[in-house]
Amino acid sequence: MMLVRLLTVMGTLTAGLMTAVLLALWVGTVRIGAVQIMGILLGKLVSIPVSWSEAHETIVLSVRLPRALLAGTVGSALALAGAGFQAISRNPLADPYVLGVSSGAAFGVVMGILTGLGAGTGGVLLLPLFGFAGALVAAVAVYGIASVDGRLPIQTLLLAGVVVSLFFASAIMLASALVRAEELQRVVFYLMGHLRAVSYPTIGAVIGCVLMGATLIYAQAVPLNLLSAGEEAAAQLGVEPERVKRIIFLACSLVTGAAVSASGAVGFVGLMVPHAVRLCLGPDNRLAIPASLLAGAIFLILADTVARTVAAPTEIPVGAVTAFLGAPFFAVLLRTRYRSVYP
Amino acid sequence: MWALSILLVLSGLPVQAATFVDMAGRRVEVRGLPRRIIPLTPSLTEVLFALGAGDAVVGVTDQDDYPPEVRGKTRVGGGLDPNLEVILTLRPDLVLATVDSNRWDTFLELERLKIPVFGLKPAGLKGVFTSIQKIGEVVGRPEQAEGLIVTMRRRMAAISEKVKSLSRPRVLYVVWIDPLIVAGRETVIDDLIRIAGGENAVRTSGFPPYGLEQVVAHPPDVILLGSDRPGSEDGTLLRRLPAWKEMRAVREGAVRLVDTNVMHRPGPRIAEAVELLARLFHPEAFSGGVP
Repeated sequence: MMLVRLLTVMGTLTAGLMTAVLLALWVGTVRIGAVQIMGILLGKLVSIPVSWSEAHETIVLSVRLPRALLAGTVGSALALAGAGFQAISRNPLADPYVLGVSSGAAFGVVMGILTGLGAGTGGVLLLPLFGFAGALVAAVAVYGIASVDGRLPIQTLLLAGVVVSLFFASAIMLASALVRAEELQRVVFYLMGHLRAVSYPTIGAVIGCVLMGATLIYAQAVPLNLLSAGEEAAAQLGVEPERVKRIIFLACSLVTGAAVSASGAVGFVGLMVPHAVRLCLGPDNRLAIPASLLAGAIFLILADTVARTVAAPTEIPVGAVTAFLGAPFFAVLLRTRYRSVYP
Repeated sequence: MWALSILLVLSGLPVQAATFVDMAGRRVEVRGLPRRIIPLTPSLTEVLFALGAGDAVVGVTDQDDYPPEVRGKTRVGGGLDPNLEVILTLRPDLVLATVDSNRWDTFLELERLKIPVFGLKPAGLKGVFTSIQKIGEVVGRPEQAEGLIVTMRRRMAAISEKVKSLSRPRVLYVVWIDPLIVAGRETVIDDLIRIAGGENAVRTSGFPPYGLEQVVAHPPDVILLGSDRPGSEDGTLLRRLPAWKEMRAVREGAVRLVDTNVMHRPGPRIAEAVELLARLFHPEAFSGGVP
């Protein structure tokens, strides 16, 4: 029964993801016909009586496709981290931003940019690691501040998140105040939250981190389900709560760090997507975690398509779009469905 | 005439790829004479037009406004985040970008898309001249570049000659008032102030964040405020700000608004900027006009 439901949900979301990617390839500043898009995509495999210019082929395959892949990966990562943090804290308000993990990651990446270690072709591949390092430091700090007698009470967790978040935000401000105007420009641009058509090795590095994190988090789906009934009850069933928490913190830091290194500050995805998924599909993490992964990808690909085109040829930060789309959607869901899921 | 006929003969030959080393130390391969060029900062556009290569410019940034001919050119977005789709559609055979005002990511993105991107570094007066010379080489107009540089140098030398025996006012160039950002040493503005017969009140290099206390401690004789609409403000802004309004330069009305588009663009118009500054510093020397 569970398997059928999982396959149905994943099948539907995969179809949705394919549609979102095709839409992202089709819509852009430069108008390219849908027939041409199909030709460019399928022309390598079969011969199609359609013609298109070389510039259009480059736009679709080297600008829009890598960007859609990156948007999908970042969206998955943020939603996955949100799902993990919400499950482990049993609090719908937890997400990489609220817990300060994103701020830590952003600080790590800013340090990578300012020290120059993250520049150049090889350095670009190092930035996810800078993000991971920053996210991990923040996560360990939150964990350390919040834990009371080896436990992680919700109240202290959220307060610790606020403290750590503010600390790293201030650290970024301090670093920005000390650098020259020329360097500041790069940092501000990064912090605004942009998705770019980066190279495939960079996307590969981010995807690698996200897949690793996703595997770690999904492996804890059943223990997380048991923990939702309370730590003592779960412990009686053989779950080691602290071990699960550590794994989730580590894995969520990894995916957050990778996402933030690639896109800067993109908010609302981690908070909204897993929440919406649970509101639609129920709280079972075996379903909610993989569904969040796909739904996050769909959401950010669509949001980025809007960001690229709404003020073309100027691109607006994708973070602004996620907030504008996310906030009202979230508000409506919360008003209509909240009671049935979080009684 | 013979140059034209050689050009015609050459254009019939198969396209030769030439390799240039740009000011970032990168090797850039350019196939033949560039005919479809996209400059990614307004100063680079101004250089191309000054070299007579304006017709080859197929796209400019949103910030471009000079010369007036740029109005008809396709816009490729901002210099910091140019739209790659628009750039690709324009099929450029050369993109010019600066190391300081464009992002390194843009270089990487264009490289990945196999578009030759040539990097310039017009930092300081020397950098501006080297940039013009390098652009001349890469777009096949080295003589025009040489000519432009000579003309600019002559014009600046004439002004410098006029003001060299006069007293040198201490000048504070304010790029941004709040937070305070000023033009320091090793910037084009610093060079321009010196040639125009002034002395930069700021000792640190680049565009450092600056403290109001430092301004008070090294009081300037003249304060220049960069403005993109110099006609629209009256320069009395500083008279309303605490600490500023007590400064001698402000009390005595030695505050001048200058056009940032002329002052901040490290391009051919810096000779114009020098004259503008010299006239502000030493109006008495220009009663007869510049020869």
